[in-house]
Amino acid sequence: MTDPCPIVHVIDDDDSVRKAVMRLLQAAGYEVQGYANAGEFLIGPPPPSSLGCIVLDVRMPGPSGLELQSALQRQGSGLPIIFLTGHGDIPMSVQAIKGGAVDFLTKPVQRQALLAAVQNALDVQQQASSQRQRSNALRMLYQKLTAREREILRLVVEGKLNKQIASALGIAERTVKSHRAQLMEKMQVTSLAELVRTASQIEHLD
Amino acid sequence: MQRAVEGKGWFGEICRSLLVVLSFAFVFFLLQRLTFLLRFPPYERTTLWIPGALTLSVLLVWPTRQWWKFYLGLCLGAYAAYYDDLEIPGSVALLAAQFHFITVAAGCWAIQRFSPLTPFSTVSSLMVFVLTAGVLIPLATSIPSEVPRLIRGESEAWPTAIRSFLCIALGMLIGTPALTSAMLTFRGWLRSAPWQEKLEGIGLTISVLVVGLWVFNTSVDTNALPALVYAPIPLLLWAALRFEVAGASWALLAIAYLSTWNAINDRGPFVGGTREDHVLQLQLFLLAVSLPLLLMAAGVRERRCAFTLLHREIEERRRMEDRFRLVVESTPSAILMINAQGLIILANKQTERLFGYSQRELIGRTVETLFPQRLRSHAREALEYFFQAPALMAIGSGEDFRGLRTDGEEIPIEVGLTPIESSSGLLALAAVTDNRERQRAEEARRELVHASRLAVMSEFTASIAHEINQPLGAILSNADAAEILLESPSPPLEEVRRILADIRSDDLRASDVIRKLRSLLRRGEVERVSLEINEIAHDVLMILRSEVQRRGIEVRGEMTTEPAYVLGDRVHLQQVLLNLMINAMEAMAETAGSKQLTVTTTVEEEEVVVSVTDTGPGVSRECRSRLFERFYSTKREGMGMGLAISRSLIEEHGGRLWVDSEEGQGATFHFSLPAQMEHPLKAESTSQAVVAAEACR
Repeated sequence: MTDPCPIVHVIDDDDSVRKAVMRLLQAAGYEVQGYANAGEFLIGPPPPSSLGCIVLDVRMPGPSGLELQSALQRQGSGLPIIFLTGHGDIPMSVQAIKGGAVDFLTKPVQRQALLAAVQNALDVQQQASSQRQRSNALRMLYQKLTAREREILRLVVEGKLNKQIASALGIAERTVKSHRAQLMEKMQVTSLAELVRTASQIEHLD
Repeated sequence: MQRAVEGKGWFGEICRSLLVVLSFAFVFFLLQRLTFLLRFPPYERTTLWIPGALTLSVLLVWPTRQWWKFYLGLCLGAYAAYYDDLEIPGSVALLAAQFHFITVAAGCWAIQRFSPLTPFSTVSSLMVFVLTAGVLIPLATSIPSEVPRLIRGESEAWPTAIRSFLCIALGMLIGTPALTSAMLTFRGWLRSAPWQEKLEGIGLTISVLVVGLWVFNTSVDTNALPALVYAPIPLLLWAALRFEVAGASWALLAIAYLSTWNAINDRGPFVGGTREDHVLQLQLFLLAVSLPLLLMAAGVRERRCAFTLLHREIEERRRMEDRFRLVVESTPSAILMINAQGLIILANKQTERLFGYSQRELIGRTVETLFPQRLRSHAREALEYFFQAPALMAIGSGEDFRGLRTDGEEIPIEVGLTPIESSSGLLALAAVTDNRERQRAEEARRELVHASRLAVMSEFTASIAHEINQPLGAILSNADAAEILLESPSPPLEEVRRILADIRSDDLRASDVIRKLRSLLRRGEVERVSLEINEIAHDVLMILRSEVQRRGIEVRGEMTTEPAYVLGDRVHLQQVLLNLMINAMEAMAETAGSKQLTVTTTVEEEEVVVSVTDTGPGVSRECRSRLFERFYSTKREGMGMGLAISRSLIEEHGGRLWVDSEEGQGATFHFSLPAQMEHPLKAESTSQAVVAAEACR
């Protein structure tokens, strides 16, 4: 399901800059792919679930870096973007960060800054990816619940007592207890606290 | 009516002519009668015969076509004078008059023929007059009448002939100038002579009459003759010196009549011996006095004329000199006149002011000393060349030529030399122009050009920074990569070498950008060097590459394949192109469609033309007329100097800058420069190149 090795995509129209950045990242041990412009990248984009990040020049002939960013966002790409520009101004960086860029660097870029940014981006993506896997699993568990169990789950998470739940639903307190046990088993949790946290994650996903 | 007027004119003419005839006849008659009065009784002879002088005078004064009137008058007067003469009947007198008129007319013709000037104005013309009227006419008149008696061998024939000759000659010589002047100049003299001169004239007249009466009325011993007859001489000299031939002749005439009159009446110095002796003595005396006197008077007159002419000429020269001086002094330039030895012979006030010397110090100084030591040999050579090949010539125009003030300050000047031919040889008129003002203005203008360039460049500093940061970034990343690679146990040296090569090329690229920017930013000296126009266009396109990208403009460069060399200043031409391109980009800022900027270079006959075309809104007719004015701008933040400066820069290169535009159709700015013929060093042609074709949406 996941590539074992993340790829850093370097998009810069300036050949020498692109080559130098790619060299640096390769030397640092990353798998690197270079593109001369946004179009080249969009022709064969990596699958949305692939691991990696994008090092993107802002100013390029054809679609600019910022335009590529919004296009990728629309496509739901999960690749984090690090902007690398020859001369950045404040409006430009604000727009980039608002668009979800993880970093905004200016050339000439310090080695530590670039490598840290790339590592950070990959970590973020890694996290996001495991998060996503986890919520997918939770969602599948949740879907196994019956309508009554989901109702009870909602009320439990709201902090209602069994007695209150029973009266609210017009059923016996014992029945509530049995449903609750069933539901905790189905959700693979052992404590009420764990159930509440899991439920909140599901809520967030919806 | 016409007929009446004509009739009247014709009648008047007749009357006038008749009047002339009668007047002349009357005067002739009177003079003839006067002559009769002065005859020495038994011989019927006199010392001088005036009527002949009257005839000659009128013929000299009046034009030939009027002579017939005097001929008629003469006949009439002569006939009338001899009407009651017992010895000579009127018919004989009439016959003699014919003969007289012919000889006098011939003499008059001769005088006018050989001395075209007034007969008494110069010595030479007077000589002609003396020869004709004093020798030829008397000979022709006196000898023929004596011929029969001479042939018969009468003893009295020769003396009579001589007396007759002298009588006519004296009359002619003394009478003609007197009568002529009376007819020609006396009225004018009366009208215009100053009162002192008139008073002098009256004084002279009285003196002559008094002295004449006294001298020729005094009966003395014959021995005393010489001393006494000299008495009128000073008066005659006075007349000759002050009143010229006219005064001298009238004074002579007075003396002649007085002496004759007194001699007839046995008074005065000429009374010894026989009557014939009296007449002869008197005649010889008058001749001896009158000839040198008349000649002297003519000489005085000639001298005076020459003197007047000379005086007038000097006056004229002085006026010319004054005018020249005025012109020279009022000229704003410093003006010097330099002779072939390089000495200053004239200098105006402006020269004093410019160099700090006084005029007196300047004159006689060598012109070299007005230049600094290092330029003196140059100035000397220029001047030597000028005097060898005199023609309009400029020293120091277009170069840094300087003059040296007396206080040691060097001032920028320009010297124009003009050859002047003068009586003392060829001179150089040097006009020295003070270039300090001009240099200051030029300095200010250069400052402005530079400031405008900086202003334009400041508009795209972001792009400039990008252009430099790009290679710097590559260098840094390459170096970092190499460092990491070298830390590995077995470093890939081949890769490191490649990295180093890339670092070098990126470094060169960065320094290239910086060099081009520096030349644009600095304020250097204006140069005139051979430049390839495509190279300039490429440089500007390179500097603007990032800016063009930032603005999302598509740039095309359509360069001529022919070698397009011009003579000029690289930075200034780049500045013009930069201005035009920035303007074009700004014009397209609001354009919704595709933004295209095309730079075209073409070679046309003797011109290289660079055009910048945009797809902006174009320039309205109203704007177009004001586009190149200073401080006119359609941009919100524009200073309005860009195009004005661009145009002046191009005009400085001998070119033109103009615009073609239709509203809504974009605009094309062109500038042309005189093409430099075949570049000596390189003739490589730039291939048709599309520099960049990038689109951004």
